[in-house]
Amino acid sequence: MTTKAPAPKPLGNPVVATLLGWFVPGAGQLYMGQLALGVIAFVVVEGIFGLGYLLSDGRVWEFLDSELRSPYATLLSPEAGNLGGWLFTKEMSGFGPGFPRVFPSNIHLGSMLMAMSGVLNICFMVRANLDARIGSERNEVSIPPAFAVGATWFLPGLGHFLQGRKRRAALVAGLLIGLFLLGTFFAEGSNLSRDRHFYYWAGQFFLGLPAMATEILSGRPAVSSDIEFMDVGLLFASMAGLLNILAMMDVYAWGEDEAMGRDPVDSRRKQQPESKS
Amino acid sequence: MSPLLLRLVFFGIATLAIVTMAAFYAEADDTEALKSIPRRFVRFYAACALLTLIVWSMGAFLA
Repeated sequence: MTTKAPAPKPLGNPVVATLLGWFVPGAGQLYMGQLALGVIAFVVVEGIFGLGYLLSDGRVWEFLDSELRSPYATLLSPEAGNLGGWLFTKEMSGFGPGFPRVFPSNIHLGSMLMAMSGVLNICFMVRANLDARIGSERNEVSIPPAFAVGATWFLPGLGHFLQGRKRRAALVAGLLIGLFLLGTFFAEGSNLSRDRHFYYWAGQFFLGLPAMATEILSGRPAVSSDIEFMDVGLLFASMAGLLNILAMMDVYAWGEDEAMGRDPVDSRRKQQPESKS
Repeated sequence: MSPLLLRLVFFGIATLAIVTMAAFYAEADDTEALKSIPRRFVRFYAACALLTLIVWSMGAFLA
């Protein structure tokens, strides 16, 4: 555990760096003079987004039920993490021509890739924000905080595990993956299709690999009859993903404290005075 | 199992996940987080009971 606090050497305004990165992946890093990282962020995020857009023919938003469509309705989806990509989709494709069409065969893979670009960009934004505040003069950390966030998204508990918090890693993984599987069981797999449940799918996407692998392996089972506990199943599966965001924030806070030379346990306790009572 | 009881079981499962993750988010130390879970459960259920009472009262007296 780190205790020595180095003098922070800010590289820029953290709000500006974060917002720039939100609009254009890597722009936050370029603003701080991190040319290589900025280019890598742009190529990786927009490459994944572009591939997803091509595979889906830019028609992912046509999954959204017509009565739910509004100019900003899709901001409640993981793609919103890559605002440039989101605006591109909005301008180029939107909700389509307004009548039903056959979807391209790879649209689900494309949809996952587009959503993944949003989550990846959030990780680069997190990195930009921290770099802007403390610069490169930081304490040694178990793993970089932004990487821990991405690892936790990819597999719940992985970020904790890499930080050496193995008991918490096991509890988080067991709880969230268990909740997701229970939800999938109750929903009889109907939660595994974005075209059927656009917003619930968005929530469960934050569970990362378990959600994506289950969807791919199951082949998105067809629904041929009423599902008795579908509402419960959808809720559980979506909740699992949304609660993983808390886990992502937890690993980030731990990593940030390490990087700033603070004791992560003491630091959190000071922020939650009522929890001591 | 009666439908109401079943719904309460479902609510209990959802609550377990919410309260446990909230405890982990609030406390960086695992032991402290796990110790705080019973207290958090009580507070969560008390808040839910209060909300239920308010909603039920509004339905009964204002609707």
